[in-house]
Amino acid sequence: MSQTTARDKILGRLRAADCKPLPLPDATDFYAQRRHEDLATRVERLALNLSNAMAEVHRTTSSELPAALSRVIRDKSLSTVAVGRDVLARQALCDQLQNVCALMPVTTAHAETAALFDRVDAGLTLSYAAIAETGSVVLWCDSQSPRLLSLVPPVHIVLVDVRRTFDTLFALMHQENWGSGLPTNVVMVSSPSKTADIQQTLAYGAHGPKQLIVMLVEDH
Amino acid sequence: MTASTATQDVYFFCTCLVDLFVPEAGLDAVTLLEKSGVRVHFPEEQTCCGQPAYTSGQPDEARAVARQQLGLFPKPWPIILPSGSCAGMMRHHYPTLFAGTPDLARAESVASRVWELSEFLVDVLGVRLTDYGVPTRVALHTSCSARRETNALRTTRALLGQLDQVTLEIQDHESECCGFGGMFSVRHPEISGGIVRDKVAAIRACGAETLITGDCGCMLNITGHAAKTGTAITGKHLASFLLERALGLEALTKKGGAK
Amino acid sequence: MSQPLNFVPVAEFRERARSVVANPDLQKSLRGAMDFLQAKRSAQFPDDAEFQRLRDLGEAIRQYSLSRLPELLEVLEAKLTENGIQVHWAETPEQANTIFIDIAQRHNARSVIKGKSMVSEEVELNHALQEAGIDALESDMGEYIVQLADEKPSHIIMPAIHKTKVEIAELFAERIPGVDYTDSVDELIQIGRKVLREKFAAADIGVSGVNFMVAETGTLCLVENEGNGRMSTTVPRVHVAITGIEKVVEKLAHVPPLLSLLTRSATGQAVTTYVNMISSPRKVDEADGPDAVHLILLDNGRTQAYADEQLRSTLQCIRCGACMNHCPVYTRIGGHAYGTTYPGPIGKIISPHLLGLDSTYGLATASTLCGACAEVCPVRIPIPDLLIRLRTEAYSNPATASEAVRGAGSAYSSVAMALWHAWAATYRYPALYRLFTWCASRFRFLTPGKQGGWTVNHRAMQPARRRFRDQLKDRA
Repeated sequence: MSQTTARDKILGRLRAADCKPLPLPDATDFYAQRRHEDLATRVERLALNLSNAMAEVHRTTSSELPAALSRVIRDKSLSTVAVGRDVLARQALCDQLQNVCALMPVTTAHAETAALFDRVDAGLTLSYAAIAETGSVVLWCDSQSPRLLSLVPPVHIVLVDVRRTFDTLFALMHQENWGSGLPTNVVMVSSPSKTADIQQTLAYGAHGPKQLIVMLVEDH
Repeated sequence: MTASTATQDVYFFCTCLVDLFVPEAGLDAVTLLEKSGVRVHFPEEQTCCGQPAYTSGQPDEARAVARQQLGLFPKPWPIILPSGSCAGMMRHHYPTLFAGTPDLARAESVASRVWELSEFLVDVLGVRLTDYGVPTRVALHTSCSARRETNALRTTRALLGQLDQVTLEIQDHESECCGFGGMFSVRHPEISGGIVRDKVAAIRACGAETLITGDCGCMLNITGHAAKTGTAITGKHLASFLLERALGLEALTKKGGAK
Repeated sequence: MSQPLNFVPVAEFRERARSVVANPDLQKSLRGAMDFLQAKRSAQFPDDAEFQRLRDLGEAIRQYSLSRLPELLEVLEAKLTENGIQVHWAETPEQANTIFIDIAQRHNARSVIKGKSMVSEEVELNHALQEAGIDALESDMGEYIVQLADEKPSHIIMPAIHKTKVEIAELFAERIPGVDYTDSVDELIQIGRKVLREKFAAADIGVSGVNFMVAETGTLCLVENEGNGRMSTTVPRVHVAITGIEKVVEKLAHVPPLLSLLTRSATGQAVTTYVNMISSPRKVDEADGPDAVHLILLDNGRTQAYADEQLRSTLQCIRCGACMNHCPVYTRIGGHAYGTTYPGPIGKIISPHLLGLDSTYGLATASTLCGACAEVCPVRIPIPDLLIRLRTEAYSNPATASEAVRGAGSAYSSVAMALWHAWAATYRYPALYRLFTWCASRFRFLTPGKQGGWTVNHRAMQPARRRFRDQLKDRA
């Protein structure tokens, strides 16, 4: 079959170049030279970067989260909010949210895709971590956390446990040993969906959420 | 170092463009150097650094011409060029051009001694200029080689900065290429013309009375286009401008101690 | 649909370039766009020392990855396969398209939605799919606009950079059923969003490019702002990624520095809205994502660049587009004039490997060698040196030309060579040089008034009355 041949030919040509191997570059030194901030400063930087990128940032505590989140949902008239298993597992939170909106579980393969496009007002997800340097929320998409919740509905709400705020993507990968394996999908989100493809004019809500709402949950 | 200390010897490589087209720039550069207390030696056998062939993809022809220059500088003296572009060629590209040939050592020796004029005036001689001219506004165009392969942007600005009556106007897109590129201007006039058109417009718009540059290629490109399109731009080589401002033997004084 | 643009007769390049330079509106919008992108990038690198350290690292990572390219590709393939991603290899655009169409037929696919992928442009996938009766729709807003206009992207990051808002407004009103004219950018984007959302939901296959492939984890990294890349790789049941073999890195830890260099250099962003890392198809207990993920690895001349130590640096490229954003030539002629998938400085050095030097050497000469591209290149590709090398290959004698680049020697002309020999003969013998320059100066009145390309834009050059060397003697 031609594919086997193509592979062998390509690899053969590359090997024939007989390229000298170079030493493995180590990014650790570069990142070690940069500032390391304490958690409080990292969180401030995260919040600032997210706000500057047009995300809506709310700061709350775990005990106040259900009320704060309910307020956001009510204020924005979000009547249907899609959630995955990870959010459903937070029974108490879900119980409270059901007072202000309908929660739509997204747990069955491909079952809710059409609904997400047509009638869901917001997706609610947890975050895996956050990155201060770039103002990014990291989503760890697996069986607990579907991918489309943060993408298809017009509003994406994400809960961030600020203790999981890292300096940089490099620090996060390194400290959490990402090199040993990743889930199906990891996404860093740093703003609402946007584009500048028409005459360099920035417009939000290109294909993904028009609004990104970040709930920073801090317990002191 | 002061004006009275032992005289330094330098070689002067005038470049083919100066030799045939802009001799006054070379003469003024020599005068400037001499008035700064330097003894200038001009090897008569010099021709061209070989750049036109090198950048045109003719390394054999470039090497043949460049090799002729390698024998002209037997003493360990600095080699001064009134051109950032040719200085960049000799400093950066000679070692590549002669890599793997028996001439590499000579090429590296030449490369290590090459100075663009303003670099030598500022970084070696520590020249101090007194401005005897009337107030004027100038624009400076630094060639891309001078900007990226030498320190001439810094040293040229430093020299102009010593002239009290001279105001440096920064033209729009100051750092952009003028569109010369040697054979490029002949081979791709449709593109070169678009770039130099904008450069001429920017210089006209910035309010400068004179365009100063350390590279005659850029100067001929910019003033030649201006002349063709009926826009007057007076171009002067940096050496000519400095000499004119600091005219008179006593005008050039030096500070002490640069390396 | 548009004609394939991948053949570039030199004469037509000149004509296209000339017409853009002569168009004041285009000149203005190109200049404005380049100024915008330059300023955005510049604001991201306020500390030059930090930028240089990061470049050192980026360059080292890319060079290291290339130095181990065959092994890394094998590790990548093994890891991706283990993760459930199917890997295909294509030597040519035709093979890549055949592989794609096979995949589509196996899945009974009728429609394809595409995220941004320059490699899919390179192989002219849309054209091949159309011939196979499969609909392919671009979903990146810029790509969607150029597809709607039957054009090709004119920039690798900003595909519709050559179009003004008003032109896009007119295009939408004319080509999208039921759309009234509006030149509000927000409204135009919402129109595109609405059209494309229906397509995402209905498409059988999603296509994407890849920014980085990570061997150790078997991960495909994609960066984007709009969300169409995530849509294309998540909503349809099948995801096909297509990319060049050079995009692999060994370690996940190699991604953050390259990612930072990429987004800051490309659009002046600290990070893009989405950084999407895909390591497998949907697992059995997962609610969404494609059931099958394929990766097509394309050679198309890359192994030729790889074989030569100097030309190999071409493959360090991370496709940020900063070289074109800072190029005085690109700023004057725009992306379409080049006629190649990749325009600008990177296009000039990669296209000869993709298409042959015979059809592309005119691009290699169309540079002042000003070095603005190399100055901003985040992985330090020595673009001017590579342009000189390609010129050398193009003008070499075909009888003795090296085999480093297909089409070497194609620009050779015995007349031009004789002129260079004559030049070198004159300038290597000081006596001849002195005689020649003396004559040129003495008989300056004979200087022709027309001097080829020079006098198109300039008053004729005339030698001085007396040469420098004569006047220096007079003075002494």
